Amino acid sequence: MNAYLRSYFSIGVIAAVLLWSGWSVVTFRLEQSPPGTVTVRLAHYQLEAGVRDAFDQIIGDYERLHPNVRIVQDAIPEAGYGQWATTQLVGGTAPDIIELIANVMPPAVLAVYATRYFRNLSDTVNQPNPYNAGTALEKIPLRQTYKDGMRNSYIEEAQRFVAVPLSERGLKIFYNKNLLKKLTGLDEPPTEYRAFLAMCEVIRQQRDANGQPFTPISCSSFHVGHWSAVMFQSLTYRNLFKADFNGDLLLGSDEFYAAYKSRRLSLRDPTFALYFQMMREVSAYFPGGWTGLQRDEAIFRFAQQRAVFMSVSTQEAYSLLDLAQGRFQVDIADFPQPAKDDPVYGPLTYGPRWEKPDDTFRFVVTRYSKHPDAALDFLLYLSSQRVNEKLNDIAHWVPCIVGAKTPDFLKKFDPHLEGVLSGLQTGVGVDTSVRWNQLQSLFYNNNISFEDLAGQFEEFLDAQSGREFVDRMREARRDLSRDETVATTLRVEALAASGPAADGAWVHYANYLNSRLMEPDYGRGLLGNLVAQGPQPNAVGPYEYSPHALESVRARLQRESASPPAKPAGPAPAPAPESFPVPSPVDPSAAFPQSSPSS
Amino acid sequence: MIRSSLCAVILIATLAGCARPHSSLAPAKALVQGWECYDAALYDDAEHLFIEVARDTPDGDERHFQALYGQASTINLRRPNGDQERARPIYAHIVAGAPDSDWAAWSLLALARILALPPSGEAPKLGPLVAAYQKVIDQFPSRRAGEEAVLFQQSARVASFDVSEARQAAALLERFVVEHSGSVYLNQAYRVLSRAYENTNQPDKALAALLKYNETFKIDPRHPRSDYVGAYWSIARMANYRVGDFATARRYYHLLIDQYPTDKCIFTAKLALRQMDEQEARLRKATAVSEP
Repeated sequence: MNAYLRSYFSIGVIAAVLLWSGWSVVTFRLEQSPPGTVTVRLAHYQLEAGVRDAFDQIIGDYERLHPNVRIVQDAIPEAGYGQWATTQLVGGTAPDIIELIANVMPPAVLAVYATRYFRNLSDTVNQPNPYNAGTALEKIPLRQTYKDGMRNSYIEEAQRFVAVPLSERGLKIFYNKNLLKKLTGLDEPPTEYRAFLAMCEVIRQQRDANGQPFTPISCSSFHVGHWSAVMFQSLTYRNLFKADFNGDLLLGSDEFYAAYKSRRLSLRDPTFALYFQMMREVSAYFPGGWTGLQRDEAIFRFAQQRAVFMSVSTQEAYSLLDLAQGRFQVDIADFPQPAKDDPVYGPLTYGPRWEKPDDTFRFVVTRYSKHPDAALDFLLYLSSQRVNEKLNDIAHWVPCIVGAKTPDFLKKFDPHLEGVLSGLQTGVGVDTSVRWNQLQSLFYNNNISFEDLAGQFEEFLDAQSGREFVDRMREARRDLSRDETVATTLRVEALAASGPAADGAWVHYANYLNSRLMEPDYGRGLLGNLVAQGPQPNAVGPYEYSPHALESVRARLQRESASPPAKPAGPAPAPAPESFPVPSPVDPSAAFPQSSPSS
Repeated sequence: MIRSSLCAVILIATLAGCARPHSSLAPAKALVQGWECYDAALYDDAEHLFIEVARDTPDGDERHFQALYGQASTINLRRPNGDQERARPIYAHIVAGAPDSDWAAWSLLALARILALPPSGEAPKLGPLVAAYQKVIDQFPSRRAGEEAVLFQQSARVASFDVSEARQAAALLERFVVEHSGSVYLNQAYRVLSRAYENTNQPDKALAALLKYNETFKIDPRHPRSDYVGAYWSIARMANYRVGDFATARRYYHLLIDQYPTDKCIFTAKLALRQMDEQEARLRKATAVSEP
């Protein structure tokens, strides 16, 4: 008997453990979703303070409204979220609702995910949100209840909506009010660039109780992107006048290369030189070795009151407030900007940076959801005016629905909806981007001067990037087959539609052909042609006057001076211009659109 | 013996379980589901459904040819592993089998588009491409596929940046917009026409075509970014920098500012308005100085 027990003891233990674990899982699941309930799982990676609490409260409200539904929140750390979500999606085990990490996915990859793994919500977003009943938004289609009209959530490559955003993102500077007062005597920082630098210098001269100098700006390899995007890149706006060939006010890498090869742009242009000069001046007030610091280290330095300023997005704002709670006061400021009469930067200072009202915190319903209707219903609940306000109020984020109130403290995150755009672009392909980053790192660390950087990068561009440009064109043409795939779907939809729906479907289809197949083809032809033609020193840029245009204006003015018109032609006179004078040029060769010899 | 028989039974049962079940859907429903699978990138399922419908419907049936078109499109455009060589004969079969049908027209256009999209990503050869589109135009002059072929043909000519090709494209499109004034592609035709004029250095005509492009533009209710920004912006820039028609430029910059006050182009539009005033002042001064 003993021998019998001995031989089966281990198996018995394993069986008991298995039974026990099975029992635990079953009871846990039953507790979460008693029989007859619908369980919807929601995954996200926002571990910031407030977000999980916000979800808990909203879920509680929703479950009281729908007693047969259970919403289970899974917060996954950001570091592994991408791999986790991809594995779940590919394996067919993804939760019903997941947060989208759209900003790290190339559009083409996002389009594949959108078609394969996410439910198409295009019909839903064009219907009113039932949870807006009784509000001013009651009869308005969901997408028009968003501050940005959901423009940023549309996936152009897949021609559909898949995500419901829940917040709006903004970027500003946080500062330690007490420390600023103590070190500089100021209540708030100056917004003018030179005054801001002078203040940073005052801060840097001071020492703490341990004799350590204060750091004016807490920065890391992560945060430098904020300063670059908002401050330094504003100086490159003028590049667009010479190289934005397709007129979309974005400088594409292929446009940069075509402008470089046709000698419309050069790395020696003041736009690039002053971009680097400002970077060097501002980074002098970052902590030593900032290029090796991570995001958390910068936050830590700020929280320890060793630094006065730090760039912060709305998503991090509450976490920082939490850290400062009871220790020091925090306030929000705009990024400083040079004055229009600044002796160095004035000629390139046109205005503040345009800030895209960007929806974020986007959620999708996965194709594997067992309860897609319940999942979608919960997303509609979250995106209703009242609930969106509450969710963001608890999370201390900015709501994205029209009429939902922003917490007072965050109102300073309101974006500049009128301003300059970035004209910085240098990467033609992978090799060029790597080389640019290498040289930029050397510059950051004071190992090379701007002249060395420009010289070495131009040398690299001349030697390598022709091949990369050809590869890029080829790749873009290969990508056309993806657009052709979508065009076929739209064509079949249009052919199947009838009545007024057919008209809409054909408009959609024909616009798609133009925007995705014909215009890009023209754009590639144009850039290929510019590169093939080589240097054209006297050629005008896309925002520069052609000789023909100037001649027309001159002829008209002569006609008018010969016989003044009784009534002014055209529309009513323009209203008084805003306070942004066209700056005087840095040097004659870099003049703002005055390229015609006759001007 | 018993054991191996058992294994064989299990193997057969497993394979049978793995085999795709025969769809019991009616052909019309199966077609809809086939296109849904195609849209969701479930290409194997889509192809399977299309094959079934093609097999279950008589040769002259419209659904039969739609199913074949679906099958060919799935094989041709699936990503990855699109196979143009396998798709070609199916499209050709539709053209031969139902030469008067819409599916034949779309199939002939698909054969031309295959030439426009070499899998290698090389630039397509213009001559054969133009000829392939011409076949569609000649065979189906008044069908939508024929109109689309006109558009693609001229677009390819213009994108070649060969001035004589652009001239031909302009001439053909000038005729198209008159003869096909009710076409669903009219708006797009004006856009390509303006490009053709740009390439032949006729900015005034390019501006006129852009104004017609704006006039015929229809808002796409399904697209959140479908608005007049692109048309207004193109007109204002063309009028300002290429034609020197400041009245038109001012009008369209103001329309942008008034109708789309938060668009990213507003700052640049205001800058351009200011720049026009300065340019006029400068030229006026120069004219005054040069006069005796």
